[in-house]
Amino acid sequence: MIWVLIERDLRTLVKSPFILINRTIFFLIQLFVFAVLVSKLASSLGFNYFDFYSVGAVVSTITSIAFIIGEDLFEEEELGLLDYLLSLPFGHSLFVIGRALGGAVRGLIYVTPMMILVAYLDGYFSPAGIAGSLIVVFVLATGISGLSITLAMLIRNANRFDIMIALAELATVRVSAAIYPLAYMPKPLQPVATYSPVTSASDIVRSLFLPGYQSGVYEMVILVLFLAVFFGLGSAFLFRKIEGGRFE
Amino acid sequence: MEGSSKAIDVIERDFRVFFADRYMLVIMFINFMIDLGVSGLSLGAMIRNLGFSYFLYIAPGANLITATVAAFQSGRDVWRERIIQDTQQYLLTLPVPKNTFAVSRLISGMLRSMVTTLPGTIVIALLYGLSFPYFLVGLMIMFVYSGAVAGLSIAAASLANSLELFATVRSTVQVYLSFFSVQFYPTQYMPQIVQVVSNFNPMTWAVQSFRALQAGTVNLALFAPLSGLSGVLMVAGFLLYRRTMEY
Repeated sequence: MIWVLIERDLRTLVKSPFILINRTIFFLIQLFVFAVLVSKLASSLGFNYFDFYSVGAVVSTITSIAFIIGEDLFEEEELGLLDYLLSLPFGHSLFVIGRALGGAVRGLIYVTPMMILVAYLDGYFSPAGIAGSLIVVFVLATGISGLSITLAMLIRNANRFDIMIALAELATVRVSAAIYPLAYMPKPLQPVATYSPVTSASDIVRSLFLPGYQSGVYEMVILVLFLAVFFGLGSAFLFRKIEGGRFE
Repeated sequence: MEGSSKAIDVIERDFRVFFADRYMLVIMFINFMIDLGVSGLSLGAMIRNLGFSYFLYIAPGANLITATVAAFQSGRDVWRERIIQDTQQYLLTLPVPKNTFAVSRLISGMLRSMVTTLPGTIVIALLYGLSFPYFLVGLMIMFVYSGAVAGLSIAAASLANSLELFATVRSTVQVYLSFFSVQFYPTQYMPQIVQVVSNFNPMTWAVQSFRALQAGTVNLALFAPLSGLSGVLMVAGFLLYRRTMEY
């Protein structure tokens, strides 16, 4: 049953070719234009910025894809489609879990080729390590889906939702070690970024792909806590909304 | 005279819609501050071997990207009127000539962007230590650049029949403006093809115009291509929007 819901979200994404093409091009431009050129500017650093950024680009891309599930739910709610979906023969709890997982699974399917490309560029060829890195980003994507669903359920104005999602995406990616090392971030933000799930996911993947990078249980704990909090919150808000009547 | 009064009415309506949610202005300023205060400072701390402050180099770009986001909110309004709310036909029955209506929407998009980015422009002026006359020139740069992005956003709103397509065009434009311009890297670091493409990017000329202000000059050689590109994009936006009003 839950797979039917996940499959529907996958179909929705596949039927949105513009989003897929756009995010792919954005990823490639980030990697082969921005990262290459900024690496030249940052040539005096004691590490290869392109390698550092390549992992962050995958993590920020899956973050961005996972946020789309909230946009889908908001649109379904606005168009009255949510009421129809709730009339289908699923338990409401199953519906909630299926949607949150759907957001994460489609993000995972989408970034798998990117992860393989980055592993290749970084000279890392272990299938087990690549599979492990995909599990890490899946955990992150499930938590981000929960965050996105939470926002979709809390905000009613379309323009405001649009801006809030963009802000949440910007904040989760920028206030993290996805695209620059923590040591170079402004001092007051470093503690915040240290506890960011995007930082944890990036650090774990870097420790797998790149020599000289380390991560431990601590990063995994942050990631799982983030997942638990936002998967729970997103599910709770969605559950409350669907039990509370139609969108006004 | 009557035409300009009707234009003002249309612009006023757009401003009322815009200011109905002041919260959005705050969020957009936070967006700008994250761009400048997090990404700008972090990249600035990483890149220190260029002989100039990289943070100050990329600072105007953050404000110009905020202007782009604000301009695309105008496009989103136009798109919602056409596709979701179905109010465009009603708006066209109002006693405002269609050309006046279309031009007014573009101008209101420019003004809304400029107002949204006013706090950011002040921050940049303070960072650059600009005098008041130069600050006014900075506002003029923001206004002309806003014309380019308002034109693009109204063109996208006129062509897109789905939110997905509109959102895709919006993010593609943002990628083009940010990564294929001199916002992040000086021209000499770019491959030849990116250099050529960046010349047709309003961000390149707007950000360079701001940097010239920091150096103490108002460089018309930078302002002219910005004005030219803005003019072309505004005409494109106008023509495409006008086309949606005809059967």
